Amino acid sequence: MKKRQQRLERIRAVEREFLIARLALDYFKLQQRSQPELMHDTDLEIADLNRAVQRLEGRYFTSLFAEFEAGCRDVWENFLVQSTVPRMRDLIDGLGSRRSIPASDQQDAHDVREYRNSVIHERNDEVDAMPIRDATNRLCKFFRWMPLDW
Amino acid sequence: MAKEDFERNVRKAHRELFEKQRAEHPLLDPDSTARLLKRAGKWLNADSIAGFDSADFSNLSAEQLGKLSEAVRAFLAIVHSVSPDGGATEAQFIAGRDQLRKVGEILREADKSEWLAALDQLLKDCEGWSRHQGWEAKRDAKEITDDFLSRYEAPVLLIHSPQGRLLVDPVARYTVGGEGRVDLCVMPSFESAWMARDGSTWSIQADFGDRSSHPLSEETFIGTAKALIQRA
Repeated sequence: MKKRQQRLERIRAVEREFLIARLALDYFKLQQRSQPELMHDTDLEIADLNRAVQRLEGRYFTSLFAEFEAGCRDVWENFLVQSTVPRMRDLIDGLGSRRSIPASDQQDAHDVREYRNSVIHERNDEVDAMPIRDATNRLCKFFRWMPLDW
Repeated sequence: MAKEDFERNVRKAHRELFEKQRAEHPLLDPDSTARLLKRAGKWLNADSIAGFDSADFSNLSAEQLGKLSEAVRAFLAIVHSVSPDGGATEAQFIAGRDQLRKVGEILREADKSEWLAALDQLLKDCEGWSRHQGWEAKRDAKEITDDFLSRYEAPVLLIHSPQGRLLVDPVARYTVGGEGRVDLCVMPSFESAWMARDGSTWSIQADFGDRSSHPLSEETFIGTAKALIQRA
């Protein structure tokens, strides 16, 4: 399989892992209501379960972006043979200009990056919530402009 | 600051207002109105029209230039009327949005015509260079959807050589650091090179060979086309 495809599939795999994890947590939460003893042998409390549900998408969002970032850095170092380690914002711009990427796709990647930052720094009021599916699509759209293989 | 900066600033403000905040009807939903007003500072500011100089727009008719200058002036007046502490009011939001829309409409029409003329010239060149090789070239059309230009029809060029088929395929008017991208794809693999526009000049680049960008000419175009056909 060509490297671009491999990288795209790794990004999409994070979204699928998230969907499975959400299904599992939803199912467990439902079961736990009728079988409270499910958590009796652990130190865990209902508050931990609720927190896990609440934070699940944010956790996977950061993993999704990390996978995208790893792909971009792979292209930067191994295809474009750059020895610098730019910040993510500059990396998106650098790849964008070197590969003549449509400005709207670059902006989409920046929007995901900004949302990822807001999740990490818990500044959710500054940007609109972005579903993980939307983020995956935007990141894959940007990554589609990378070379087929390297 | 150049004309390109002004245009980029307007597109950025447009994207923030009409794409990200979807501010077409802010008064219908009180929650939405509050959220939009809170975030109005992201586009209702002088940066959104920074770089405007009417002397840069000799391509516009006197009437269009007058409308553009008036909309910019009105937008700035609204920006200056916004209280730095209290944020925008609904009336300021709507007035600012409407002026920004006017600016966008004038730029959009001018930019679309200019881009389509540049594409037409590029395709004429590619057609001529192909015919010098004894290859057939035929125009078709495709629909492109762009955040700023909206939906428009652009020409494409199908090139038939005895060894394979190629497609000259417009991709985007606005690229990072450039002013347009047109792909040159070989069929059926769709492996491609791309032509990037910078001002009135084009360059061509591929992910094979020396991978560098070269000024577009008959020699570089045909060389890249033949290399693509070999890789199909």
